[in-house]
Amino acid sequence: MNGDGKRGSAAARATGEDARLGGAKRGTELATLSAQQDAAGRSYWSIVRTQFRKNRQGMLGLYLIVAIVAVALFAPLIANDRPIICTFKGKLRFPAFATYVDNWVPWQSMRYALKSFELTDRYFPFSEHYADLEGLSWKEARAEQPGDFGFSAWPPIEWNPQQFDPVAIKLRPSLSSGHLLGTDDRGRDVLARIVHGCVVAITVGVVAMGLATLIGVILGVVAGYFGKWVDLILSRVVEIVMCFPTFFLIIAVIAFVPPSIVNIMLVIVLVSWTGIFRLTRGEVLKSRAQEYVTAAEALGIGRGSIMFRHILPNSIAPVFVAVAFGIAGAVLTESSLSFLGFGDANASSWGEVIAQGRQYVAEGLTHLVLAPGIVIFVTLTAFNLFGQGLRDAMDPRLRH
Amino acid sequence: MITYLLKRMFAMVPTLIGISLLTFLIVLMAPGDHVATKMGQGTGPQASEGGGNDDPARMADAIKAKKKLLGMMDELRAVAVWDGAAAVGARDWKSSDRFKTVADMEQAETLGDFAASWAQAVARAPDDSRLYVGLGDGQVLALDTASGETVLSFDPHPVGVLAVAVSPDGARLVSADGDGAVRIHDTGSGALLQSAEELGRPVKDIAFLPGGARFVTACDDGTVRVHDAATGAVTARLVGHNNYVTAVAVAPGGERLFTAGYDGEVRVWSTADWKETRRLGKVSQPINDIALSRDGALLATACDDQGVRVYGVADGSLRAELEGHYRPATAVAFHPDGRTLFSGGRDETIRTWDVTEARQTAQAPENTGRVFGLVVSGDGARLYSVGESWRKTPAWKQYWSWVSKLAVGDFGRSFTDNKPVIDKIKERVPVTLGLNVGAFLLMYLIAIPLGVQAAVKRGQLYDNVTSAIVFMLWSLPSFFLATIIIMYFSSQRNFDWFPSVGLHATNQADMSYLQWLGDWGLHLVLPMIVLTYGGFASLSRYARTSLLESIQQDYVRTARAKGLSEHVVIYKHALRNSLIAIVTLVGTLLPAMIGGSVIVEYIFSIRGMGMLAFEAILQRDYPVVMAITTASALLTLLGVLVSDILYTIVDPRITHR
Repeated sequence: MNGDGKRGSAAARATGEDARLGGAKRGTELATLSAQQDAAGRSYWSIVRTQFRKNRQGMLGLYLIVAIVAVALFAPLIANDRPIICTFKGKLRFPAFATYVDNWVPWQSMRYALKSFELTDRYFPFSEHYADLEGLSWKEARAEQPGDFGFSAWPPIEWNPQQFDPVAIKLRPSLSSGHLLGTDDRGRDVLARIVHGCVVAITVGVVAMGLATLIGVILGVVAGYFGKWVDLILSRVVEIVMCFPTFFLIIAVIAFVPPSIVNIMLVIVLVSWTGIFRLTRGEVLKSRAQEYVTAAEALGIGRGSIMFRHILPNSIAPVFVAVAFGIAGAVLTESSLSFLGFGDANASSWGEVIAQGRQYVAEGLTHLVLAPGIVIFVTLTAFNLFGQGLRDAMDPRLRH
Repeated sequence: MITYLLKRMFAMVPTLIGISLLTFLIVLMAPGDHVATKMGQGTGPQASEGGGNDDPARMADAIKAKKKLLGMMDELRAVAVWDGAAAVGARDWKSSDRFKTVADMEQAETLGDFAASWAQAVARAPDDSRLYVGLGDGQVLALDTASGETVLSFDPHPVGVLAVAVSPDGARLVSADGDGAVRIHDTGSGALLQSAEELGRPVKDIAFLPGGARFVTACDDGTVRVHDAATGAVTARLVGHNNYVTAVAVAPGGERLFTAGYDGEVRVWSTADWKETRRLGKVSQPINDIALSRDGALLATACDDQGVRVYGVADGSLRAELEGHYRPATAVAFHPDGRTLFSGGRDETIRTWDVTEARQTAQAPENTGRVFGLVVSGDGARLYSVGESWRKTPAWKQYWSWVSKLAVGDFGRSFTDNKPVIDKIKERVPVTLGLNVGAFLLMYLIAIPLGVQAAVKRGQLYDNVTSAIVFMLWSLPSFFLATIIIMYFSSQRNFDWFPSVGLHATNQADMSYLQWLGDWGLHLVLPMIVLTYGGFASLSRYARTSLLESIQQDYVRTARAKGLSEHVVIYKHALRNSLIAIVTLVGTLLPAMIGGSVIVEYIFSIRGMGMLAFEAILQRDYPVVMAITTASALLTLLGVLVSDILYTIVDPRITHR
């Protein structure tokens, strides 16, 4: 890239940031543009895609997000104390997949059913094989009965986040000990806890923000389209929720309900739908005045159809940006809650790892704080970069 | 201006109502039992000496306090009467609804009408004409079972009555309380006949031996005593239990005595020589109550592990293990048919069991209050339950009573130290407000020049570097940064430069004013860093954007054309206009900062509002939580108002009329 181009892209980025914080004025152009196609006949979203690809920071954010989500999805196969695939006592087994059942099936009876389900020839992947192991863990079986294994593929981190390694307590990060990022005060592998913390963070971030977006968008469209008393009531409700210091409201509610991931998500939804609502409502108010809405009304198209099939697709773009930032916010809230001790005790959350590690920094175990903290930081940065990139890509003033 | 302010205040009213409503809903969601579990981790409903953890009076007071807070108090507790025949009939109940496995118990009526937070002791007259109830405030009452009226009020005990028993001929009533005082009353006149010597520890159960000449008491000192019914004097002491004894029962023939307690064993004593003959069912879980079937063949125990167990008296075998209660079972009673068993527990339910088939047949509606005592009438037609309850007040009434107190500034009293909540908050508000306002000023002082410089040097290295740094700071969790800076700048291992606990050193009283000031400043450094850095990103970006916008305006070009220096153009002409947008941020940043100060105050042990809130939430100190939540929302509203007023100051074009 020549000097001139560099200069240009820097300027473009600068104006992009202007747009990020510049707010309302830009929205009009955006909404108008979103309904149209450009001269080359490309659709709005294909323009955004092209613009986004040009933004290196945004792309970095996207790649990081993809990586984090992948870690979250494959966490049981990355850090687990069971082999992924093995032949044991002559049968092919997939023990690590049982962790998926433990993590994702909320009903105990269904967990048992899934894990005890057997096919005639070989075991169902979710089965735990307690009977064949004769009371040993998979690792003990590997050490004591190596003959029973045909072949086995183990996860790269051979620890699960809850497992204590009694001979490796408060280990510092090292390549040789088998604990890459060291262990905590009870001998739990820090890297395994961080890997499984991805699951919590991504679940909370995506599900909570998804639900908040759903509620915010639907109510926002309704309020914006109908106006009058519907708008008045909904806006007042939003105003009230927004009056409470966000984090304060969250801990007040979370303290009174059992601390579980689901409740944390619901509480985050409770406070974060308001932002989406305000954004959507504003966009819809702008679209409502445009000709295509009048045209649709003149054609006798139903209200629901106008709201959700005509206005919504033309007003939703800025919401995506808010969602990207919102996910970062939700991840931050969840880790802050766990840090304060309001988290789910059964899940290994990043905030909780820091909270526990904090007591031992005086002993020099800085990795207990630094490792999860840096991961939170990277995650938040990824979502923020992505959101910023998306915002820049949607800004019509940045197109050349 | 004043009319404008008044108008704004008026417009705030619906918002205020909404705020109080939301706060109220949050607390309403919390079950009252939280208070009790917090205060009484102990087991069993019975009182122990000295107001310990499992003191029901204290637990009841805590619940009462929440109810009072929510305007649910002044409630009357009555004895609930359940249809015994229907409960037996439920055995043959066939469910048409496949999700319902047990029948509903029918509440026939309520007896009595008395104001006491709980009642534990209940006994029936042999002819079922009367029911005797011992209350938590020390009263002992006789209720007419037909009319439900209180027919007689006995000499009250100074503390809560834990046990009552009626002699087989119905002429004498024995009552015992939490101090171990045992009193013998005449049921005809209500006169106090005898007052036995105080045992010093709570007496939790009493049973008459057949003939009525002697009665047995179960005491918290682990001893079972046999008293003479005429004088109350102790004639025999049965030592064996190594923990509280909670229940006694006498075999119908009077030849055997059963006792049970917190050591989890039922001991069988011979009444001839008062020797222990056998033990039943070691479960190592405190037993709260035992009951014998009328024929003396079965013995049921209500255990703290939520189980109800039935033993055969003859062979000591476990006949049935009845599981269903999800909090400790506290009371059991057999129906005269010897097959139907009733049990009550702290899960606020009464359950009916079929002992032969070992299954539950019926259940009373939940939330009837915790059940502390059960008695079945002689013919089995009625089951009486006592415990603790409150009449359900409609939510809107509770809300009204709370909000009307709030309107006159009555936030109630804290549960933990009984101080007025308003005083506790007044003590803490200056700390948090001072910190946040200070951080706010600092944030503006640093971020705005930063943004202005970035705008002036737009696109240059300075702009890019500050953008990147500020962006990274934005993504840095405050609790992480706080931990890190304590780790590196307040520890023996690295740089021990700044203190990290509180706002003052412990020896602040000995300091001169200058020393004190310096110490205070040193304490402030780290919390201030954590409070301010997060706002840099949005503020400096905002300043940069709005200044860039202003610079493009015509009046700036005019100013430049006039030949004004660049400095004057930027700082006097352009900046003043771009400040308008920045000022509006006050309204949105303030709530975020007050919320965020919970984390900062927690990490740096600063005794501000955030810390108070955190402690109150952990202790389930509802009045404090409600008050702080409301107060912080009010502060936010005020913040918005202040930012509106600031508008007029920075932008003379805007006027409020």
